[in-house]
Amino acid sequence: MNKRAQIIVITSGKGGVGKTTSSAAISIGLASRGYKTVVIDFDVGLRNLDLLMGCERRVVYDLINVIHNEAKLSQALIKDKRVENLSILAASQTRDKNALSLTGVESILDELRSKFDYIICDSPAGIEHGALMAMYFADQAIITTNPEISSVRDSDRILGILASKTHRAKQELEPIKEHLLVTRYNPLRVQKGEMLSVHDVHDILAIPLLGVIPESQAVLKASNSGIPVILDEPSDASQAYKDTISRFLGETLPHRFITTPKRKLWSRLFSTNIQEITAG
Amino acid sequence: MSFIKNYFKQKKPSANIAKERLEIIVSHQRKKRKNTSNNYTQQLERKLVAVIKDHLNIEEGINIHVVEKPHYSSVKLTVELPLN
Repeated sequence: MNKRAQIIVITSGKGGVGKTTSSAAISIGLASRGYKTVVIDFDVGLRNLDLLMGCERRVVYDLINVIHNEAKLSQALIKDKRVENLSILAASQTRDKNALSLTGVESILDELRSKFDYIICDSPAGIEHGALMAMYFADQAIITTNPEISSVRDSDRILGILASKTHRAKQELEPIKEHLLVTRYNPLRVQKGEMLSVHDVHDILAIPLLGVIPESQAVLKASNSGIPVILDEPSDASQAYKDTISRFLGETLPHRFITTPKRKLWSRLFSTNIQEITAG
Repeated sequence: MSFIKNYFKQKKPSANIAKERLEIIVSHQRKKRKNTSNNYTQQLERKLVAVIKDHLNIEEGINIHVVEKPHYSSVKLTVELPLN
């Protein structure tokens, strides 16, 4: 039987909320669970995914080259060296954004669909052409949101666009399955009343909550070194992303890292599980 | 007395203010989405064209312009009638 990959867009509207960090983590997470996964950078002109994946020096051909028939898809796919089953398709750095044509994107996705289980589309910020191309053919969307007022509003705008401007909406197919991923969460500031709680964000956007990623020093460290944060095993962000993957694959898990740790520092240093807390 | 009032006002956590503001913004955005062209203006457009074609037997020269404003939308319709 032919494979038919699920296309998942990582989107947000607002920039800087953690789309690319999440795309890198989620694609590594799915691949390490045994699923054949490809992650595509749709941010034409401002590519970053290659940096976070640590493969910037291996990019020879990119998405636009393939669309323009200057390279075969197989030549442009970069195999990850750490995780089996994972390929990366970089965005072009130089050309103009309209190079990303709908028919071009469709033909690439069609080709990938028969070879992979999951196609992760890392969307650029905004609601312009590039973002629309990234979400157009999606089956599922992971809405990356910071607990911050403009990010939440933009996420709601994106929900509106997913429900009206995409292939599934236009063809009146089953709607895109939406997931909420709250990133850069700081339970201490929530406790002080300085930050929207995950419950607030969840209430307002009213879509199923897939995961909560705590604001973590590991994230910058990961991008500095080109090793996606999910591979930084003991870190809180890595554990939170792994939980997110499990939930995405259908497991029911409590949300961790959403309340302030109750034990003292010394016990925090010797135990990784103490922040475990149930949602609600 | 007003400084006491101000003191208590500032006590309200900013996260609560954010939530209240967002609830209003998001409900506005969603109401707007419900009322936009996807639902009825597009249907209206399609039906208008069908009715005109029924009566006039023309393929071109029908212009429909939908203007969406925050409080109302309007539909401007111009039809070029054939000479004979």
